[in-house]
Amino acid sequence: MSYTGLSKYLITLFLFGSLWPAAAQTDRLQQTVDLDARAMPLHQVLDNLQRQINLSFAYNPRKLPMRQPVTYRAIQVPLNQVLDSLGHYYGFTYRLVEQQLVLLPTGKSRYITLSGYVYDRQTGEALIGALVTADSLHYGVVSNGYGFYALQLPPGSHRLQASYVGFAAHRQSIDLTKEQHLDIHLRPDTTQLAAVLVQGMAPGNIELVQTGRVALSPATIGERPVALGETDVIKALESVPGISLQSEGSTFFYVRGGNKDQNLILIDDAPVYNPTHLLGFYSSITPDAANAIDVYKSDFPLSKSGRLSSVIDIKIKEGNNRQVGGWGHLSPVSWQLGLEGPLKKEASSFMLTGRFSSIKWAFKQAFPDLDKFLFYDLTAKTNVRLNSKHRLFMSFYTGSDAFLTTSEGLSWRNLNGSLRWNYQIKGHVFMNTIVYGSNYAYRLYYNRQANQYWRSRIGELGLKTEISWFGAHNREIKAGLNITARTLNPGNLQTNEPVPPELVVSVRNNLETALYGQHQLNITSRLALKYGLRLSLFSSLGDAFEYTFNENGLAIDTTEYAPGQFYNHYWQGEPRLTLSYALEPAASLKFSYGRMVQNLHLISNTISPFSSFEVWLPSGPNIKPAQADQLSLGYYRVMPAYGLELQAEFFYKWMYNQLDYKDHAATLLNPTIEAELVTGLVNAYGAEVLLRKKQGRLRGQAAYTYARSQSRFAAIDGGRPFNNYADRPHHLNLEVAYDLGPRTTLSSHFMYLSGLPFSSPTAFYHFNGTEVPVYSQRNNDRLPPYHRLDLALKFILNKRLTSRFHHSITLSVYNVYSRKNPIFINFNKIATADGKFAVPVNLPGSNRLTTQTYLFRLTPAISYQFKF
Amino acid sequence: MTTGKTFIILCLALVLISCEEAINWRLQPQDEPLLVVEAVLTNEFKRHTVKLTRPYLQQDGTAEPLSGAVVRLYTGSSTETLTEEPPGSGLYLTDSLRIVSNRLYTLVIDYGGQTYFATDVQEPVEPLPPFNYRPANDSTYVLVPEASGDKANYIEHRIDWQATGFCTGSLPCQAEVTVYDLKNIDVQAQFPPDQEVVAFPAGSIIIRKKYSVSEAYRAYLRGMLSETAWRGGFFDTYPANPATNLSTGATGFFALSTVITDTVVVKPLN
Repeated sequence: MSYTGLSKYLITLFLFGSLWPAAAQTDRLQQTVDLDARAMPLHQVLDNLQRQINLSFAYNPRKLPMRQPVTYRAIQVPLNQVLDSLGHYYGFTYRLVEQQLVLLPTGKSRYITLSGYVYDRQTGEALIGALVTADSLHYGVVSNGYGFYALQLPPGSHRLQASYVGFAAHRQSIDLTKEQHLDIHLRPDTTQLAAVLVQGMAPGNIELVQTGRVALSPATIGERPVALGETDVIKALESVPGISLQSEGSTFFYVRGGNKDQNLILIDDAPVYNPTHLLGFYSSITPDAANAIDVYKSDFPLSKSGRLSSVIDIKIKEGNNRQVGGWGHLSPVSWQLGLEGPLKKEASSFMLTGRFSSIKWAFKQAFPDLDKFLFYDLTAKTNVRLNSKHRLFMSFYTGSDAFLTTSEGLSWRNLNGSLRWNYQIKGHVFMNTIVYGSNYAYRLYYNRQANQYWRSRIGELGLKTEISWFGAHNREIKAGLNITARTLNPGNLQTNEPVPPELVVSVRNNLETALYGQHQLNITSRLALKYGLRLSLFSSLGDAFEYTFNENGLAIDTTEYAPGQFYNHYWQGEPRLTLSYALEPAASLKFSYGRMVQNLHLISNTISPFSSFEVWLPSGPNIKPAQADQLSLGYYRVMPAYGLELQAEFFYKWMYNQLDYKDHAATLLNPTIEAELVTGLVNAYGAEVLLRKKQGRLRGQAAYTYARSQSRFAAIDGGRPFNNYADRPHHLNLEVAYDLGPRTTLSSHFMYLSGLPFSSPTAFYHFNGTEVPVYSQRNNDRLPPYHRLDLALKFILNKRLTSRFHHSITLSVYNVYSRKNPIFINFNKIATADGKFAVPVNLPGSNRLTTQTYLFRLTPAISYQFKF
Repeated sequence: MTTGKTFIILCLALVLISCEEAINWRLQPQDEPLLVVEAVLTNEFKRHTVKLTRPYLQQDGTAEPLSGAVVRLYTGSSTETLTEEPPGSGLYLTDSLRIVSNRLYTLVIDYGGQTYFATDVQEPVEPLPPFNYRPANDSTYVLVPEASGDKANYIEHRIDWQATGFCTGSLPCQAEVTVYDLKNIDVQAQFPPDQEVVAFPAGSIIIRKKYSVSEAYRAYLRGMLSETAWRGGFFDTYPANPATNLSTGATGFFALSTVITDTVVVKPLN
């Protein structure tokens, strides 16, 4: 029997008051049953029980949630306990009437919320992405970006389990009678060989209804061999399939066929626009300051929108809230110190770290008028647990470079800050509110004495608030509001004069307001769905002036907008859809579709891998928002016996309103800079495979990507498609770390990457005595493939490995086999008498050569680290 | 706006770890059916030359002259048909004439059943700046390129030290250096690659000729320099063909300039 009719219901009500032998009833209700239901509709659960107990159920299907999925496990448990439990859950009581169990609705279906945070027991840091589950469930919940989790459980006893890679699994019995807050403290376990499967469930990416996400471990990044001993978060992205750095010595990176400006780098939710030091040799983000680094290549969180190709979400360490600790790092290029500790034990902590360059001395002798030659970054964070419901966090980050003589120079600076408030409104309702500010300024001094310089700047102030509601059966509803105000100066001259020079390029202001909602639910025991929509309004705002261009790109009119005057609006919708299908507990198949919108555009027509005079422009009357649609299909599997994790993803991406440049576009101090831009399409597709082993004596990963990316612009090459900079078909990355002994670790890194597309001449001609190249098509050629092998040997110097003060040295060799990986090929130089190469000036001369420029060949380095 | 020294210092960091070397690179040549025009007509009263060639496929190649074209110059009021001299040279000469300002000139080339054309106007030229040079070492000097005037221009320097005692052996004793001043603000131009040093001794005779540049010619020269003198530094832009004023199927430039010239003798600097 499954469903009964109304008549049967009336009959059972009639019988309800009759007498029956109590003892016989008790016996029949105490017979044991087995039940293993995974999101099984309630009526099927009752069918299942009915087959075991030789009784039939009577109920009104209109009064009870018969289609409600039930997840419940019981082995040889008395029937009355099972029915009590189900009744609590789904709001019914029961009576045995003759051969029928009559279910009577109480009108109350009950779940009880168990929620809290998952912490590192040793440091008190929140653990992001930890898996928490209970024995009666067949799914787990993953702690969110703040370490918060919430489970909806039936009342009663449960065995709770939590796991996180690198930490011992935590098991705990709880008796749940009312809503409960439970913080879970996981103990680091370096001996753990594999990511554990908790109750047959796989951690991390298997459980998440999410594609295109790769979590990078700061500890693993710190283990990579690096150039000149400088560990680097951005450089570590080259290990993620689907991401390629432009070239040696560059922090520009390309994700799934997108351009270099399509990557949103967030430090505690505040954006960083130029995360580089030394023109891009190093990024300004060190792994020592990070708690977690999540890379999203598709299916971006709706709260972190604004770019087409990736989100690099960096969470700063909160600081050890149990004891004072510190660390340091000394390399040939810089020194770094960090300090963390409790302000109030287990309630409040701080973290402060700074890195400072140490290279000025190398240049001071050669350039006596050198004033500043430095870079530094500072990161600080403090947090206060006001009580179990309220937490406050304050983050601060700045990174700066200054290369100044007494007369001229360059400098740039990022300055970010955020104030975050986590509020657990109810056990299963979590709110996260952030107010943040970000400022990026670039200065090119051409007369320091008079303080005259060219300056570009982006200032941003934002509010983000998001409420998450956690329901039963892994259901989660999110809703959020983002408000962002920006001001962009695309580059103007500044002086100290009382009357500042008139703006050549209009400052642009804009206000972006976005509302979004997302719903995640389990449709069946295997199939989960996540869908959402972000609606945003991007408005341009005075004080500004805008040009009107004719069809030939000539400015024909100028319109001035008063301060505070709104003048251009773009309504934008970004739908998301993700499906996850569990093939088995350790494997899943996922699909996602997402639309992304980008309203900030980097204006730079340089092919240089080095950061220079990039300026940003917002969408406006003359620049449409860029947009991308991406389909992603992935297979995820963990192999706990080997400690392995496998991800394979396929993607196809269509990008619209992409910007490129007219030939020899003038992008500096050009008031009609929009006239130099052209728009077109970019299509990209590819396959990515990542195999990782995070724990054990032998650790490492292998990643391979096959990907293509082609651009099509009507104004370039007559609309013929061409390979863009993101088109690097083959990308292989191998990283292995092996503990040779308790004090020694050998790590290696090998990378192969197809050469960067570039334009080589197809012919030449003479004009005014100069040999001028002829180009037939953009990026018709390719640099040689990039590959290199790096090695590092780390020695722990401690006599006693258990001592609190821990120090080590690392010997590293970058590019072991001294491969010459060119960053440029030039066709216009001659050899000079001193064996160098120069552009010919004496026009009757000739003997032009083809030259290649490369950076690091075999580069040894030594660095020293300590920690306490 | 110059940041030369800072660039040098900053790039020193790059240079310390960078290396440049000659390589054999297999270009992917394409037989371009392009017609190359090299024509700078000036206010000098003389027979002006329009040079027609085909592109060549390898560096330092020899341009194949394009012979047999019919080349005409429309001045607005008259038409001049140029003659190829010597025949087969690809050099097409006008009669003696002087280009004048405020007039639109059109070059028309008929070749292979196709017609190519280009127009330009002549801009006035500003005075030559004082000659500026500095010691390269104890006995030789180098030019100090400086901006001059308010308008885009370039100055051609024909340097001759044959009459000095430094002209010995087989080394050439003449040089030709063109200094462009396009009044542009480009990162690539701000931070160009190393340039060949052309040193000359005291006593050298330098004939300077300053060319005015129309807006279209300026755009072409900017593109040309982006692909030649400015290419090879650390902040190059996307390679592209300079913006020609010739119709589809042809490249190069048909330019009209006003020129002004002087001669200086290099004196020793104390």
